[in-house]
Amino acid sequence: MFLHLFRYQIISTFRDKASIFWRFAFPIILGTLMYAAFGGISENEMAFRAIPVAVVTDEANPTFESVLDEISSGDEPLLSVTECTRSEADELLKNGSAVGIISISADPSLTVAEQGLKPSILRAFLDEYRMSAKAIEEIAVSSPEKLPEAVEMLRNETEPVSEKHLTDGNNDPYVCYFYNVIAMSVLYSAFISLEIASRTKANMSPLGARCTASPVTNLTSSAVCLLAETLISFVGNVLALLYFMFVIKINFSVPFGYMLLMILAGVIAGLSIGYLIGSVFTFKKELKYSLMVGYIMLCCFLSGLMYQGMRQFVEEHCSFLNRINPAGFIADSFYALNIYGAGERFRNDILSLIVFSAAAIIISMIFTRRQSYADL
Amino acid sequence: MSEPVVKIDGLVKRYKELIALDRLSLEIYDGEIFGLLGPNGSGKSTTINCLLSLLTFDKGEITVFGEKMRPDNYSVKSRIGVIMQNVAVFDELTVYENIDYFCGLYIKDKATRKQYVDEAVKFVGLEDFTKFFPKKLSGGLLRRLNIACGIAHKPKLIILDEPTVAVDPQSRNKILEGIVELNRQGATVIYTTHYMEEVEQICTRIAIMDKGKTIAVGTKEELKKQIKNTETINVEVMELDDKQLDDIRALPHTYEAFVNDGRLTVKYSGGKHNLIRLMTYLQEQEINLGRVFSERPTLNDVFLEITGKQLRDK
Repeated sequence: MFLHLFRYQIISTFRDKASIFWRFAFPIILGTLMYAAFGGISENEMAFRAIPVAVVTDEANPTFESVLDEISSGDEPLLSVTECTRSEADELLKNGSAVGIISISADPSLTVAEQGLKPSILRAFLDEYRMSAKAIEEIAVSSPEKLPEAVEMLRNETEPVSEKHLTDGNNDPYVCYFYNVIAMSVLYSAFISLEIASRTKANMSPLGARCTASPVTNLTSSAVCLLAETLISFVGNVLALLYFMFVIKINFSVPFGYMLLMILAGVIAGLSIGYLIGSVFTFKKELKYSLMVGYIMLCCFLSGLMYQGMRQFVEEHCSFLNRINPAGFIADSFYALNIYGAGERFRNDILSLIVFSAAAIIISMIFTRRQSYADL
Repeated sequence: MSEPVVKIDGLVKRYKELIALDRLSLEIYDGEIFGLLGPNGSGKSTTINCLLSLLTFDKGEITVFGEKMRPDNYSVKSRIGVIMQNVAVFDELTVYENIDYFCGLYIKDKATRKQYVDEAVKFVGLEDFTKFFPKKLSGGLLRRLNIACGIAHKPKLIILDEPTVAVDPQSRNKILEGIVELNRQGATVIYTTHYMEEVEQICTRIAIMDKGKTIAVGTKEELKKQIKNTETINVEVMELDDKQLDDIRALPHTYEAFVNDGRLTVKYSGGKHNLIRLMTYLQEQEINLGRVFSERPTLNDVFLEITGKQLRDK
């Protein structure tokens, strides 16, 4: 009986174009769209690059020149300096090879061609230099004995802050979008489980009535169908994951085995949502679909699919919602794995997902095991 | 008489204030084609759903094959075949796969199942459509598939709930012939419909239902004997005055005569040669006639006489 039901569930699913779309094509298409839309703003793309600047010496200023040397050298230079004549500098500025022209003199000046982030950085740098120089001048006049101390203090103040990673994980926010795509995709398994619920219950469809009148229990047929769908959805999402990893080269930096575990848990959660809505409510199937899509979209929205900081916002203002949001558990578990590894946060997410799924399935089963109804 | 295959005793089913089944009692015996006839809303489908334990009921008891029918009585369920009013098949499975799927819910042995499925396909005449998907089938063929899915496992009791609704005449005949054949092969059949012609054509015993009650049970001959009317003669007439109409009413065995829209209708209760007597009188009166036809009473007449309303929705 198991093989009979299992086989036909697999066959009917693979012949249902909508089902195949949601399970196999949807995550890949959505991931590809994400890649196309946000692929250019990954962390690597946003890494700071030295600002090209032309330097013209009108009058020697050893202090300023040494500062320029300092910030245009090292591993992460602020400026990329080209020393040249005034006419060459004008040409570089004109053709865009330089963002600005710094003229060295007793009071260094800046010429920029347009407004923007990089000219603003140059302006801020020059202002900072002027303020520091002025302060040192004043200290030299008023308290010359404190001059070395003041110079040291200013030096420390201008030391660049460097980012230190606490883990080896990839904390690129761009990657988080792909966690959410997977979260959304696994939850869309709910479509098929809603269908399973409606066709195993006599009060929901003629097919349900025929199946309920047969000697196979609703629980048996539902369980076998859900098992088959777990397998199909799992394979579909793993294929999407492989596509993200190897075709559009998303660096998840999470152990593959854990990702498989999360996908499996997510698929079960998705199926349990659809099965719960399909089993508990008795209104029209179309309405159930609307309810389910609305619920999943809300879950995904609250988990940060549409707006990256949403989950944090919910955590700050209504943390209870994050405790009952399966999309949030899935997305957060990926994130936790990525940043902290398989630690407590990941375990809590997995546990929450299991508890959520178990509760949904138990409630559904209570409704499904009934084979006699007050109304059909 | 032997133990009934189905025994329904004092069944009461309420939907809030509405009483759908009102102390319904029925006995259906082995080898019968038992017709449940009644207008829409008379309680036929509710009876079937209670019988299958799909519906809970408020009072009464149902016994099938000598066992109390309960939702978890799988031994009884395995001997029943169900053909619902609405087609219940999987759109994604072919004709053959659908029959195989439902047969597989009852028959575990693969070889036996294959044989049964092949027989069912042949039985409903879908040999040329085994690889078709349900959406590609006409309404009639779809109904035949629906029947094949319900009977492939060779059930001892077959329940058909209005299987010919919206079916073309050719498919309807095929379906009715099939039901008789299934009965000939040993199955007891319960057949619900609001088409009296179908019931008259195939059923060995009939229960007429109205407002959740059986108002008459018996063979079609027994049912027709329960009413006064034995013959109705219709004659198209050009003109007929009141005296002539009174004379016709006075003819032997006549209990009703009226003219409506150029047609004289005369109803008789018993007697022989009623048509000859009527025609002789009309010729004597030199009344111009059109078409003349005589009708035996139908189940609709039975229903009409007992309830005062037509069986079919008008």
